[in-house]
Amino acid sequence: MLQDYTPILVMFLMSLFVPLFVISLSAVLGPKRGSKRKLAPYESGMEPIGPAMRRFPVKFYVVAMLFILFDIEAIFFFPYALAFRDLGLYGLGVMGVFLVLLVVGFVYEWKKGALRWD
Amino acid sequence: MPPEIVIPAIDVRVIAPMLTIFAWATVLLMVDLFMPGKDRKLTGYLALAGLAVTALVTLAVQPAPGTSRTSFSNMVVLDSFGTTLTLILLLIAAFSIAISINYLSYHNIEMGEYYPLILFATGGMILLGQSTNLILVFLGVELLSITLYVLTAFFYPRYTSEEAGLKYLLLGAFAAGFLIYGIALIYGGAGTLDLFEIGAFLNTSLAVGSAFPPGALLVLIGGALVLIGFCFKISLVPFHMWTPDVYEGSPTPVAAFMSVGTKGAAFAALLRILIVALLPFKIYWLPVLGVLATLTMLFGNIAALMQPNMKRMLAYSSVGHAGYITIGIMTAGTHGTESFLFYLLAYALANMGAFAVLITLERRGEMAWSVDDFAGLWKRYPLLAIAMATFMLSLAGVPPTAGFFGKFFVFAAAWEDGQIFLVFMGVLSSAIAAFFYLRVIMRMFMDEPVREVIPIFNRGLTITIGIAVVGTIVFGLLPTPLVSLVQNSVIALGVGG
Amino acid sequence: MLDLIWLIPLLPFIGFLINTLYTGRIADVHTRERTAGYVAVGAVGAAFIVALLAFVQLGQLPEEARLHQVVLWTWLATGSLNVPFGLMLDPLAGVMMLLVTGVGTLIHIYSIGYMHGDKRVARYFAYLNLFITMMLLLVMGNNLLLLFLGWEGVGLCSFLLIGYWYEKRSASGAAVKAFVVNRIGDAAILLAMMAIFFYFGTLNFFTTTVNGIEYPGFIEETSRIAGVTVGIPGQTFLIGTIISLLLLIGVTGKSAQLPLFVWLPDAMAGPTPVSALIHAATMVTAGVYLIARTHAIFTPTTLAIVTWVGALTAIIAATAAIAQWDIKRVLAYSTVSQLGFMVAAAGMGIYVAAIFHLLTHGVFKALLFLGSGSVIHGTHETQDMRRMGGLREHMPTTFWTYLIGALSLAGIVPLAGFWSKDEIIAHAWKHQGDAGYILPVFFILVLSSAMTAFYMGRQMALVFWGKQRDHHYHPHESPSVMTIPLVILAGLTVLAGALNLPGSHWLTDWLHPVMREEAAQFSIGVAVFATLLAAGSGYLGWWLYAVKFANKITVDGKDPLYHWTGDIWDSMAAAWYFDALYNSTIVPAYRRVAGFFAAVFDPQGIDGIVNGVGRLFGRASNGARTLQNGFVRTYALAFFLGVVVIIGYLITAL
Repeated sequence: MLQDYTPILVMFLMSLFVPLFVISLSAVLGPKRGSKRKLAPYESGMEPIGPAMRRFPVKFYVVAMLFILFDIEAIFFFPYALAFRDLGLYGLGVMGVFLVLLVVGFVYEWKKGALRWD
Repeated sequence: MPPEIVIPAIDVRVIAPMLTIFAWATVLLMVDLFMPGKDRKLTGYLALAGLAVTALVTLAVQPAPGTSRTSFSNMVVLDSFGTTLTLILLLIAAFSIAISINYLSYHNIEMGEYYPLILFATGGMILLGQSTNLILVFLGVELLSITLYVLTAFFYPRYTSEEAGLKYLLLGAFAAGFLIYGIALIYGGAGTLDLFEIGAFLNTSLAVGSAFPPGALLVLIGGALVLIGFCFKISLVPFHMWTPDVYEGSPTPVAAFMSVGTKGAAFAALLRILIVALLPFKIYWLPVLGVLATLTMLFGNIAALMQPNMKRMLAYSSVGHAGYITIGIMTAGTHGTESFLFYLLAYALANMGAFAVLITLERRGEMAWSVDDFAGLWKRYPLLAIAMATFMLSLAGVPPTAGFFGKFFVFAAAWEDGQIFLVFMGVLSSAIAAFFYLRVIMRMFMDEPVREVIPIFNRGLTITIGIAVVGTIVFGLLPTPLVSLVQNSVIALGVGG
Repeated sequence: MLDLIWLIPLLPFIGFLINTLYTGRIADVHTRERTAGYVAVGAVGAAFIVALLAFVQLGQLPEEARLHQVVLWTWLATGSLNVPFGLMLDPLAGVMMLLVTGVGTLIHIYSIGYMHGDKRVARYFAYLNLFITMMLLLVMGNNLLLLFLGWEGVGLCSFLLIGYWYEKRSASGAAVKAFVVNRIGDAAILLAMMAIFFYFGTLNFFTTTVNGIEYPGFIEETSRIAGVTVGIPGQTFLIGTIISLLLLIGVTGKSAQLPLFVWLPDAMAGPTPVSALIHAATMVTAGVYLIARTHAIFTPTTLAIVTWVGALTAIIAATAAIAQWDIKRVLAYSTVSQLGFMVAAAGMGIYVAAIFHLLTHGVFKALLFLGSGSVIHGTHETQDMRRMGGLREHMPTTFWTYLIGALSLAGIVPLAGFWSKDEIIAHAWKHQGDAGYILPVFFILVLSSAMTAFYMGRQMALVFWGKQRDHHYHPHESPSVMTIPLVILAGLTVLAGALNLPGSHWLTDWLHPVMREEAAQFSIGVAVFATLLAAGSGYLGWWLYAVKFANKITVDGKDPLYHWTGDIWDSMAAAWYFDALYNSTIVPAYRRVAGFFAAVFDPQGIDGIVNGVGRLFGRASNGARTLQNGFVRTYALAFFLGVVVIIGYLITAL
């Protein structure tokens, strides 16, 4: 019974190991010649000013929500892709409905102007 | 080689009402988006049409008497209880929309999303009434709650409305935590989320020996947490404290919708859980519900006594009524759901009507809802005063109104079950409650007007008040057809059939 | 005609509808007033005629067939329960119905004169008509549920009519008091109804046929609960006792008996015709009717309690009536006292005597109230008897009719009150051996009836004899629309005793199918004794106030007897402080609890304590209010405590 979950454990360990490995690798191998500019936190090329805990424009949240929306879409699509043949037309229909609902949300957001930056 | 995928048999008829209302709501959202102009009344009328279509669909797919249909791996059931409840919920939603159409434009908060949101919430309620799997129950609760968080805060930019929305969101999330944790514990104990299977599991595991098996213990604690999650939604004391604030802050039609719709659906789901899954634990949940019902009836009605604010008074009154409905579901195991459904409908009519009258007196930019506004109403608007008096009498349970029979059925069933103490507390608290309902009547009929109040009438309000008055009186004088309807509304206790 | 008895309650209801929906909208004041009066009188008068015809026809049926039921529709059918919306006419319902419509018609006519010039008169007549409808449903309903509908309905109308002159602060207060006190009784009736439904499976009084199916009536099936008991081991009660005690509590509310009688004297704040109709002749007798109707359920235990409640009410109210100054309060306490007589009679098992006294009292007390209304009208709204005096010469018709009413109430032969009261007292004397409590009850009743004569003598002397003590008004006789009903009622008062004279006992025979009672035995000794006692104490009362102390009565002065009795007099005037007792114990406790809940459990209250100033500004400006997470925390805390308690309970309950 528990053996069925072995791949998940492996996946878990992998996802723990890979980033740790990469980060520590760069820490070990990378040259360190720091200047003031370089040691400053990365802020998309913007001037780093003020404390990190400041209020963000609400637009960022909207974009973040959109991102989550399509993220979830992707999460649902991957397993569907695996079982695509077995599910047949029924599966296609269900995913179609799912997609339509997402698109409705997307169209709604678009029309409401949530994607306009100003 | 991956395991073979078996697609469960699907009977679309079982979810046809939900499907209709969700599809309609989605399309309506799009239609509204592309509708030109600022006037959103058409969206409201389209939403009403959607409710009518859903009602027709519900009637078309209703199961033959005494039968039920399940589908989607027994996650959803369509039985006569669900059908009746769906129809009641659709009526409540129709009332809410009818009283909203002019309210929104009058208060400058007209936005098209309002109506699809109500439809989505109604769909969630229908789902709650029909689901036989705890995951779907949770889905229904969340569908309902998330839309209501938005609707509660719909009176943007009124601060009280935003405050109400946030309070409801925070406490709702808190309660949802208990609910989902309870569901998890039940799954841990019983190994299933299916209500029928949980019931079967309990029956077998309790029958084995005298010791209390650990699996059943997990289900018991989980069941208690699920119960608590629902107690929040139906605002039983002490999980009721959000109610007055949220009702007061939210737009009045939303408060009306919540006070009857949410409550009805949550009660229905709780009823199904208690009767189908947790019936073997009746000796445990019965005293808990009894104490909660007693506290709720007493606290709700006593707290309403001194309320000068009508909206808060109605909020507390709805807390009190939750207590009576609780008695109704406590007896459902032995007496069926009739007292619950009858009470729900009678209460829905009277409460919707009372909120509608409140809306006629509500003025732009004011948040008083003072009982003073009702003073001397009879003198200038006798019909409105008579309507309000009818609602108050029905809520107080005075014959010949529907409210009286609601209480009568609930108390009679409880008495037959030997819950004489509960009946006593119920009668006592309704005697207390009569006092504040009567105060409104007194102000209307026996006082001079305190200030100039000009009620605002429109078609939606008039029709709603009219239907509510007629329904309250007709079901008070002639409850038999309704009784036979609710009597045949049986909860499916097994799979298929 | 018998199948048309549904017309009887319907006609006043139509009057109510017309006066509510149409008459109130007439712009012209005079037309409005006239229309309202005519519609109301016409509706009730027509109902009276139909009732009379139906009554006569009922009398033509053979005795055992005198129960006619008309089922209008099935009110309620669920499984085993079938409650029809049905009316019934049997001898008991018949006499009650005649009393309600007959006295009702006279009082409606009288009201036209009395309410002349009142600006809300359409509403007044609408309420009055609705009251008649509800009262008729109460006495004609063929099941307990319909009776309860009427019971609540008359309560509501009474409430509306007591508070009719709501400008008077006392009126609104009295209305609320009446309703709240009555609600206590109503709750008990509701519980009794549950119990009857549970044990009998029906709420019908008698077997009713609906659509060809027979549904049993609980009055005929009392054997089903014979010997059935409930309770804990060692202390059980007969279920019949429980049910009948619950009914008794309802009766004490509606019929103003101990300990719930306090609302009736205050109810006199309503217009005087209302006092006559509702608070003397009809509604308050509903309790006596209920006992008579359901007497089959009453067990000996309850009947003993019923007798004591009635007797004690009779004497306490009689002493209170002696010490009142307000002309209407004397009559109000007198009504309470006489209702005590009826209840005591019912407790002793002589239901015919109770109904007989109910009928005669309905007539002569209506006469007295209308007479007092005429006095109040003729003296420009004076109610204090100290300000009256010498009205005999100014208001001859009122005086003579009032005298007849007073003599009847005092129990002077051969007026109606004598016969009905004598039947009760004679029974107590003859059956003193039946139970230990009958003899003390006999003495209490005799003493009360002596006091009755005394306070009526006192009232006659104060109002009509002597000299006018207050000259701020010019007394005048009332218009004939008011005096004609007085004369008719006075005539009925003289004649009503004939209903059940010893020897003919028509009423006993008429009620025989319902009550199955033997005719009361007349006792010449008791009759002579009671009459002499009544005449003596009545004369004493008159003599003290008209002759002996005539000069000592002053406006706002103390009663002459006060100097002899002192504090006892004060206690009597305050009806032995029942009101004060309730006001100092139950009312503040209730207020405090409600106020506490309002203050502590209402979040606005919490706001007030925690954040008063900020809240004030927030309310005022509706903008400065911040999101108060603290409160959410409070709510969540309460929520969590609830969780802990519930889970804790479940774990300990395992």
